[in-house]
This record gives sequence, structure tokens and C-alpha cells, in this order.
Amino acid sequence: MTSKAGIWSRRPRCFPKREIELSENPGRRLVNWVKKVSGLQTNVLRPVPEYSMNPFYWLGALTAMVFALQAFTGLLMLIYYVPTTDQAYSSTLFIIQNVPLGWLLETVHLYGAYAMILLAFLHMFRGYFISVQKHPRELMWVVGMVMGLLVLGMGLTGYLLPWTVVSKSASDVSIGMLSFLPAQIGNILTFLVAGAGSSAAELTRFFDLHIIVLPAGILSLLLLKMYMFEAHGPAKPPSWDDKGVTKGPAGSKDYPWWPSVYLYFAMIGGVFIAFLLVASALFPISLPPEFSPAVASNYVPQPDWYFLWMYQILKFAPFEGNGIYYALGSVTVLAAVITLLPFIDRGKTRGPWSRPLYVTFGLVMVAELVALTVWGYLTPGEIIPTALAAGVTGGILVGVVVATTLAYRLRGRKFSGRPTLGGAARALGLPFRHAGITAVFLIPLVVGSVAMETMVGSLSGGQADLTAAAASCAVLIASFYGMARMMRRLTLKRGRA
Amino acid sequence: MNLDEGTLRLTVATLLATSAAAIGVYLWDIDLVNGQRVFGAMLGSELVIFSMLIYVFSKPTIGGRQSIWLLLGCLLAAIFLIISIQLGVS
Repeated sequence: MTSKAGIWSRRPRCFPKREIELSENPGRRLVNWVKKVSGLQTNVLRPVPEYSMNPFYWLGALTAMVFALQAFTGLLMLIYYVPTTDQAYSSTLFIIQNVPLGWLLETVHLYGAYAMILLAFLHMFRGYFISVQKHPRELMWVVGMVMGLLVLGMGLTGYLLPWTVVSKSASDVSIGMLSFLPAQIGNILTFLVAGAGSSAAELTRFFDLHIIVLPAGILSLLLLKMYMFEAHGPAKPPSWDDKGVTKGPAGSKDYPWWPSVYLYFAMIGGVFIAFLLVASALFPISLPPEFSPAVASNYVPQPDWYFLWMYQILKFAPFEGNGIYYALGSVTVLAAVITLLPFIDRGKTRGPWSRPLYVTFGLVMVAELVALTVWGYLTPGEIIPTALAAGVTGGILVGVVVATTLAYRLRGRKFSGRPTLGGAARALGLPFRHAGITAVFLIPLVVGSVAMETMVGSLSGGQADLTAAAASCAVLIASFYGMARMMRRLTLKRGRA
Repeated sequence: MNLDEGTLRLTVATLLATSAAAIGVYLWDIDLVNGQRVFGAMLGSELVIFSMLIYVFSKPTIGGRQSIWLLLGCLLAAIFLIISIQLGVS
């Protein structure tokens, strides 16, 4: 009865394997006829290997499931919601206060949106760190990144729909940022998302984008991504690819979608939705006041949590006024770099321990994202001075780089035994062995930090000194390059201790 | 008392199904306008129990160390149920 092959290795008892003759059961006859005429007798979904029966492999599927949940709850709310400026708020309030389960529906829709964005980020970062984007999954990565942007767009457009003072003020700030784009592009985009400037047009456009355009885009890309997923299958564990392993250990097998994978996903999906429901019950939403110019004048606009990191960057003193070009430009370049990662990271290895540069970059991104989000939440509307902004972001950068380098070095030294500070220092070669390279490593760190502060400072005050900024940027890049080379040298010491 | 695998599986499944049915009766009786928080938490508990039912039916064996997930699932369902009761009485 017992089996070591894994949790889902046997046919579930609720689906006993038995052959039913066509003449035996009219219901089964009908099912078989439908299968035959629809072509569904051939299983369109490929069996799933045993190593992927792990919740971390299903983050993308969970995101798609929450998308379906959002569509379901959104459609139910559409029965009562009226997308006009004079009724949007009152109809939302009506759903919350009068419709049976309306409040739960509204809260689950809100928390579902949060969960979807969080899952999309987790899915992306997991893929980034284990390098799933490498050949042949380059296009899957690019499609996934575009889907992520559309998901953020869903969040942005949905935020306005209740027509509260919070949502309208934040949406106005987002639309205002479009005016910093080149005139022709900015005008067209502003017209597309906000109409000719009236509030009614803005709400209608956001509503259309939220319920038709963006969901249609996400659904189309989801189908495309699923098609590619079926063609390539799930990415193997990185250690398999790095060691050239093509098959799992003896006894491991593939599981058919029906019933094994469906039941497995129903299980983890059920628990996930349960958490969503209980979170909705425990932390009920309360609708902020309705938007009116008088109320809005006393309110500091602040976006929802998933845009707080960008909001915080825009509050940095150097990015005030025309400096916003540099902020938006930097974020765009960063997004482009991550999207085009498969064509930048051309190394053959996939494991995080063999890609120190990209892993460090990813960890810096995560740390900066979290820190800026928390910071943005704590300081609404507060302009951050240049020195403080450079100090905090530079400090996080340096801290993460140093911690990651030490972690790689510890692993390279095959540190073993009881973890003590003295033992760790000896394993690192600090301060007695390799003290030279450790000290030299600090030089580009310090130079890079100073260059970053100089660059930010030279862009501040509305009078940007582009020459100084370009020079500091060059020094910063050179420092990064130096650090990367040294990290590589440090991490290549593996096994020599 | 030693139970064979089949009896153990059937016993656990019966217990889970009974608790799911009992919670279902309460769900039916809840005021859907004023008791929405209770409904949400109780539905969460119900979903976890259904997930555990799938686990019990699908897993090759529910004896031994691997049953820790079953135990944790039942604990989670119980916590969600307690939350819903607390929300109902507060």
C-alpha cells in the first residue's frame, strides 16, 4: 500500500480505474460521444513531471486562477456598478451595504487584485533567480513580462472605479505623468486613457480599459504562454541543467493532468482562496470619502502599495520638476533590461550559485523595491532630500552587495562545522588571508556610492548638470564593473580553502 | 488499535465530510447581508476541508510521517472556523 514514489503517484481512490462499456451507462456514452466529436479524446495537456508537483512551480497557474476569480467577482459586481461620475461611488456603496455578500465580493475582488500582483512578482522573481528564461523559453519570459505590465495596468485602472478621493487623486497623478513624455506621444496617450480632460471621460476610459481591453490582452497572452508552455514543458530544476541531468531519479514518473494534476491544483488553489476569504473577513475594507474637488484639496495623493516604490522615487528631490524625465527614464530602462534578460544573460549555467552577478542584481532590486515601498508608505507627500535618498538607496545597494559577496565566498570556501563568528571570519579569510582583495573590494564600493550621490546631486534643483551626471554615471558603471570582476574572482575561489 | 490503510482513509474522509456538511448547514443559515465576515471565514474553513478531502483521496498513503500535511490542513481549517465563530459573536 505504501509507496515512495511521491504523493501523487497512484491513481486516486475516488477515480477507480474501471472500464465501462458504451452500452452500460448512457451518461458515459454521452461523454464519450462528446469527446469523439470534439477531438478531446486526445489529451491536449502534456503529463507533468514529478519534480514540478511543488507549489513553487504553480505560482503562474495560481496567478491565472486569481485572474479567473477576479473576472468572476468583477462580473457579479457589474450587475450593480454604474460607471458614471455621479453614481460610481453610490453604486459601490450600495454593493457594500445592501447587496447580499456584496461587501465580501468587493473585498475579495480588492484582495484578489493584491494577490494577483504579488503572485506575478513572486513568479517573476522565482523565474529570475533560477534563470528559467534561458533557451528555449526566451519568448515565454518576454510574454510574461508584458503580462506583468498589463496586470499592473489592471490595478491602476481598477483603483479609480470606486471614485473615492484616494483613487481619483492617485489616478490624476498617474495621468499627469504622461504630460512629461514627448508632446505628441504624451497627448495621444493622455487622450487614450483619460479622454479630452473631463472626469466623465476619464472614468469611462478607465472602466473600458479595466473590463475589456486589459483583460482581453492578458487572456490572449495567457493562451499564448500556455501554448508555449505545453511546447517546452516546465523548466527542469537548475541543478539538473547545470549537471546535464535529463531524467529524474529511478522511480520518478510523469503525472497525467486528469485526474492527478487537476486534483493537486484544486487542493493548493482551494487553500489559497481560503486564505483570501479569511483575510477579507478579518480585514474589512472601508470606502474612503467620495471624490470632490473640495475634499481632494485637503488630501495628499498616494498610490496603492504596488506603485509606492515608484511614487517614492518620484519624491526624491533631484527628480522634482524636469528631473522626472530621469526617474521615468531609469524605470523604463530597468523594465526593458529585465524584459530582455534572456538576450543579456547568455551564460550556460542556470543555478543561482553560478550566477553571482545576476543574483546580486536581483537581490538589490528586491531589497530596493521593499525598502522604497515601505518608505513611500511612511512618508506620504514628503519630498526626500538628495543626501538622504542617495544615502538610503546607496546603503541598501552596498549592504546587499557585501552580504551577497560574503555568502558566495562562504559557500566557495565550503564552510563547515559549528557556525561561529571566528570560524566564519577564518573561512572568509578575514582579516588574515586575502585581506588585500577584500580591502580593494571596498574601493569600488566607496567610489560607486560617491559617484551615485554626485550623479543624483548634479541632477537636482531643476538645473541639471548633464556633463557631471554623465561623468558620475560612467564612474558608477566602472565601479559596478570592478565589483563584478572582483565578485567573480572571489566566488571562483571555490574549494581552494 | 491498528487500522489498516483503507479503514483509516475512510474514517478520516468520513470525519472531514461530516464536518464539511455541518459547516455547510451553518453557511446556509447565515444572514448574507449582516453576517458576511462570518460567511467568508466559514467558507474559507470549508475550502480547506475540501482540499484535505482531495488530499486524503489522492495520496497513496495517509499513514506515517507524510500525514503531517493532513494534520496541518485540519489545524488550519479549525483556526479558520474559530475565527468565523469569533467574528460571529463579536
